[in-house]
Amino acid sequence: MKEAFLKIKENRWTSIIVPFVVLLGIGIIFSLLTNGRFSNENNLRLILNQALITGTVATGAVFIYSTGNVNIAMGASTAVAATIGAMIYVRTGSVSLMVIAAMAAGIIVMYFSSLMSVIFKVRVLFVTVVMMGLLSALQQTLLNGDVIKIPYSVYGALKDANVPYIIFGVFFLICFVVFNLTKIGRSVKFIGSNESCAELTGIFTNKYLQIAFFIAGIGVGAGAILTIIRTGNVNNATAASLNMDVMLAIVLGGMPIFGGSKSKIHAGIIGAITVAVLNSGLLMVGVSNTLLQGVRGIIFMVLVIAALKRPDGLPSRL
Amino acid sequence: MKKILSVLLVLVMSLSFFAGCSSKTPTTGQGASNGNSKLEPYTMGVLFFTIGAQELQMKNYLEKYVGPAFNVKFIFSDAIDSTEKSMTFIENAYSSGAKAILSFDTNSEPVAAKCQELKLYLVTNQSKTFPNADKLSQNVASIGTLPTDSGKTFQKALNSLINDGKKHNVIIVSGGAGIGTSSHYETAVSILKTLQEKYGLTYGETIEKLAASKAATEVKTGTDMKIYIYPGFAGSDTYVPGLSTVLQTGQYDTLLSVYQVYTQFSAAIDEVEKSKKMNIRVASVAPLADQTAKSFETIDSTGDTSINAVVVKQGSIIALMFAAAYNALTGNADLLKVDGKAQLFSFENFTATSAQEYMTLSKLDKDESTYVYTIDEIKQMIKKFNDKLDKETFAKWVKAMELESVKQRRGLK
Repeated sequence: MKEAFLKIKENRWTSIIVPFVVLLGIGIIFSLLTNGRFSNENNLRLILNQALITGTVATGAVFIYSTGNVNIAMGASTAVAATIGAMIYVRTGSVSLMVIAAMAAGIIVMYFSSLMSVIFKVRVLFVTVVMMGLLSALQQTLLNGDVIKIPYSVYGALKDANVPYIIFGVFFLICFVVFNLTKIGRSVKFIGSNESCAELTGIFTNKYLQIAFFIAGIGVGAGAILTIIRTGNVNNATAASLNMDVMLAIVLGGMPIFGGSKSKIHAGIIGAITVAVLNSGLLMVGVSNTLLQGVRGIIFMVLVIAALKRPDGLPSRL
Repeated sequence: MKKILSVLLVLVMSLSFFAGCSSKTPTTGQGASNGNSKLEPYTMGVLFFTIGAQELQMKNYLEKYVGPAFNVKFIFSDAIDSTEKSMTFIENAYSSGAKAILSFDTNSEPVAAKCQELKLYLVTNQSKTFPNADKLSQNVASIGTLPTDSGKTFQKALNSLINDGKKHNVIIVSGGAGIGTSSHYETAVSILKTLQEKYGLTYGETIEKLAASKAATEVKTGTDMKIYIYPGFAGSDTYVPGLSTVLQTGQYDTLLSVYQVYTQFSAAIDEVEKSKKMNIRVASVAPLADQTAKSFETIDSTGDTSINAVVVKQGSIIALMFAAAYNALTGNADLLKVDGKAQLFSFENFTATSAQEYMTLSKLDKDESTYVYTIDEIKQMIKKFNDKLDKETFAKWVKAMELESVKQRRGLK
């Protein structure tokens, strides 16, 4: 019995299918409990909107997580990129420059983190702990206590033109191809599975770590633009909970917390949608908003415990 | 085995969590039990900026008193600290059937835009109207204290501290005065003006510039009197320690806070009072809640009360916000507007400058006999129940939140 269970658990299709099944199952349950209100088109669109920012940043972060590293400065990086993007818009009035600035800031901030890790040979987790504080201080300095507001006519028009869906769609497509069909994707997963073995087979781990951060930086920049479009302003609370949301989304999307061969590029968006579905559905069935945070924490705890075990024979990440 | 056990334990925790959730908040069904089943059921979302004693009191008032009487169900947010969370709450409230939002978010513009997009009626607690009010058809009304009135009311509290003929060194906790929170700004302006007039000070900058300081600033006063402006909110880790450092210099004997934060400083104040053997007197905006009463009852190491004067923010505003939203839901969305633009309805907050004065206030909002607004009075603010209601009558009801009117109506004189 135990062997059969383990066989199912270790089957590569299990980890691919389960997140979709869980998402679908939760969706069906909420739909039944709310007499179909949950699954109406309007609500599904709102859920997708809520998941887009986390989904975009998490999709980029999958490249980092696949290498077996954890970046806990994704939220702070996004906040800085959004701040710089919004500031450029206020100075120039140009949406194109805002987009370029946010993307550039996202990439630079993330790439800098990878360089710190590579140059000083410090694990990514510790570098990002420091970066989180630094970036937060940088954002507060840039904002100087202000709220940067973008006119509704601008962010409303971008929303109406479906720019958020386009940004996410293009980014996801690129990530999907790079992750599944190129050497980069295979290499980051290999590094996550067994770093020493990857190095012995000629994979330059530092190079791929930098590439992973570069791609995650694009995600951070895109997430920053989506944040501006969704909220129309940037302040010192922008993206404050994004870091936790990204981690939750990646794990909930079926990706092992320590990366490796079972990493999946769709984990970020599937997880982000699942979180949004839970938030919306639980509220619709009458669970109070305050309790939602607790429920989210418990789910995260269950999933982390469940995902902690690495296949026998692989070096421990703990 | 250990892993399976730990997963099981967490699952049990989750299940007990959900079990706890099954005792739902009062819903439309309870309205029926009050004989109001004939009223059409509605759902409203309530967006709180912070969660404290006052918000819990409002929640209780709406859920247990107002909701059943009008067959209205409420969905409450937790403390909303970012615009992103506001957006998500509004969307989820909309999906859960809410038709109106009562918002306490200080960053109102994105909230208004989202409500407009989802066609949700919006009533805000703020002290100004929206600059683009003509484009926000879903915005029903704003209810709050005029910024100038906020300053005026605080002046009464301040005067009670400085009318002793002595010179005082003052810390002004200016909150969002530097980032556009108009009531904070006007209160800071009023404090600086009052101190200038009282002590003949010559500031190094204009009062307007000083009040809008975004960083902690020691004000040049032209005398040896000290004034320190401390802006910002208690969200950051460095906020309370930053003020503690200033207090520990032992130079300041008066703390004036333009928003409800003094309880977070109370430990630091107490520490300084004990170590420096000095009395630090406090005037602050505060909620009408048990914690404020306790502060008036607590005697510190110098034999003075923990707080000396308060400007009481009133939770009863929720009744007015509810009435405005209910009017909109029942087909009178334009009743409170002028030329299609939502208006600001203002009132003055209460002031208490002694424990005795506060005790009179603290009798309010306990039950039906002491609520600032009873169900019958709320009905007077709703066109469906009061055919004669117009904008002016509603404005009078808003003004009826002021202390003298409440005392008279509740027989507290």
